[in-house]
Amino acid sequence: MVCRVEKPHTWLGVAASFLICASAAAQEQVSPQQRFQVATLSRAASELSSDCSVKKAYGPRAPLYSVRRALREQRPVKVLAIGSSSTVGVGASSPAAAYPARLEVTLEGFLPGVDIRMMNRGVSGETGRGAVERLKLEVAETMPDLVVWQVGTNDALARIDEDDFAETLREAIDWLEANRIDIVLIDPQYVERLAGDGYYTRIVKTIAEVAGKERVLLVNRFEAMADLAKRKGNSAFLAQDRFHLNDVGYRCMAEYAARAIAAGILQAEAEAARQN
Amino acid sequence: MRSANAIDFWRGVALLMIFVNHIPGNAFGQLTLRNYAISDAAELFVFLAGWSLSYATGGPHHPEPYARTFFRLISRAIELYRAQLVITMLALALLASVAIIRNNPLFLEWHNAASAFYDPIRATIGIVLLTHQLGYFNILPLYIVLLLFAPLIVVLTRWRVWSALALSLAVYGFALATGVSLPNWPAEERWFFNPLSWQVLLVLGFVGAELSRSSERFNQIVARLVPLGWLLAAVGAYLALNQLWPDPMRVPEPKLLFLFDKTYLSPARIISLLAIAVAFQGAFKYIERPLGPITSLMCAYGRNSLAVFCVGSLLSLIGQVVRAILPESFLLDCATVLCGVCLMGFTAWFVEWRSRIPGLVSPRAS
Repeated sequence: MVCRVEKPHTWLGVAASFLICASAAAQEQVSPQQRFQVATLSRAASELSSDCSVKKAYGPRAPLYSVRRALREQRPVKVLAIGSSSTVGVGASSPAAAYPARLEVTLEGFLPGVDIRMMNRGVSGETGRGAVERLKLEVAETMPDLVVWQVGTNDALARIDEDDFAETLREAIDWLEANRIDIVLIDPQYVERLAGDGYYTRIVKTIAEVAGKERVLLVNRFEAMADLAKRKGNSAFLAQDRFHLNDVGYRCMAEYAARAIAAGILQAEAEAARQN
Repeated sequence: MRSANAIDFWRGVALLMIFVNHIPGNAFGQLTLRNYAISDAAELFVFLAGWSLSYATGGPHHPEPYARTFFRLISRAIELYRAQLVITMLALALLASVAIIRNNPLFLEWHNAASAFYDPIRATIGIVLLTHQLGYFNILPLYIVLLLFAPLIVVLTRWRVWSALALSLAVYGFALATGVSLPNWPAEERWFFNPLSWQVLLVLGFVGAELSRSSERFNQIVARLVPLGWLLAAVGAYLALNQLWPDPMRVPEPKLLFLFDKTYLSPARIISLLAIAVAFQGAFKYIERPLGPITSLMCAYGRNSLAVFCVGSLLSLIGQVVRAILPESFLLDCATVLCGVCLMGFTAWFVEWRSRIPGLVSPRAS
């Protein structure tokens, strides 16, 4: 990283700049611009728009090292969105209103001057092994810094054994980690009819457990949407069929994911600073 | 009605395995080929489709006129196209019914169905163009495209065998190297089975059948390859049982050449299937009698593969729905598979019974 000294008019200025520069270098060389980004990010990570305001939108504190690395190397951040119809954007008024496009815009708002390259791949209706093999191939083809994986709905419907499902998740997470690619999980959507379905909620819980143990960021979509539904009724964020997310719903989903990512970058900064 | 033979038998086995594989989570899924080999039932099915193409078109010694072959295969493709539209509509109606009865809209987005319900204007066009395929309802579109090009394969093979193989391998290599495939629409994906890759299995099956029926030398060579077939099949079984799939990050370019990719039919899957075909080439005559009624049932499936496949596809979907609704148990898995086996058997029996009643249906050419 280059430490630039601006307008060194006097020797005092030079010395002061040198001191600031040196102290910045000691603190893992954070430039003023990055400090600004950190400030924006911390604000962004804690605020939600009034439509989407929920108690808890994302899971454990976990670092996104690869995204941080991309930011520090000042190159575009490549994000691969993998998932089923919520990722494809069924029910949205236009592709621009679907969650990946929203996420891209929101993230670019948080990180001024950073190019977020969103790649959107659906893994429709697939469960278990097949999904992981496909995920690996998509990742190898696109080489992203971050994978946002919306997972669990199909496994819950097919009644895939919970342990097998957890094993599949762990395998994908470990594989991504080994290849130094960050991951953010998004759990299944909240559906009124399924709130009492033991299997469905167990799959949601399994994802949270794996995310906790593996220390991976998780967007608690199920919980967040249940929270919203309690306060505002389903109609506010579900499309006419009362199931699919409408534009507001996709915006909230993107907001939660963006917050989770912002928090992940901050966590990576904090952990890197601690290590030095 | 044909007497029991190896091709119908193995085709029937492939159909049964496809039925079971298409109910993810079902305990019997542990018994299917994909757990013991790099290839699975789909490869076996397409390879045998190529093999039986030789019999359907007269064989190397008494080939039927090319015009007749052309019309036969094109009308078969149309028949398959009709079947694909019908089962797709039935599957959509089934998902819609379950969504209404269970008041659970999750069923509407199962297996890629979401666009049909939420974006019907584009999806309707996609269904007709075969570019909107429901998950697990993607084998017939492949087969339709293959049949459209099958007359060319037949003509080239019967002119010079090497010309058909060369063309087929060139197209296959091109698909692997470039990743070119048929697009899906409205969803931005690719066909689950890339016809540019999968044609190679149909050609290998057809060429294999033509040579084995005309060349003694070919049969001698294949007989000598049996130990190698067993060895490769054993290696494949070892890899599959231990789930030792190559890591897409670690293989060199072109990656599809070294992976075990199903969409593009990576070479490992072809080698696996050919090894199994060579290893098991003579097995039928040993298992025919001991298996008794099972042999008859599998052969009945194989003789009526289209009807059995269509009914099997819908039964798989019903099996999935049942899994989603009822509490999971091994007993339920047994009942599902038993019902499927019986109903597929009934389908085969019904088609043959119907064709025996004079005047009920017009006699079929195929």
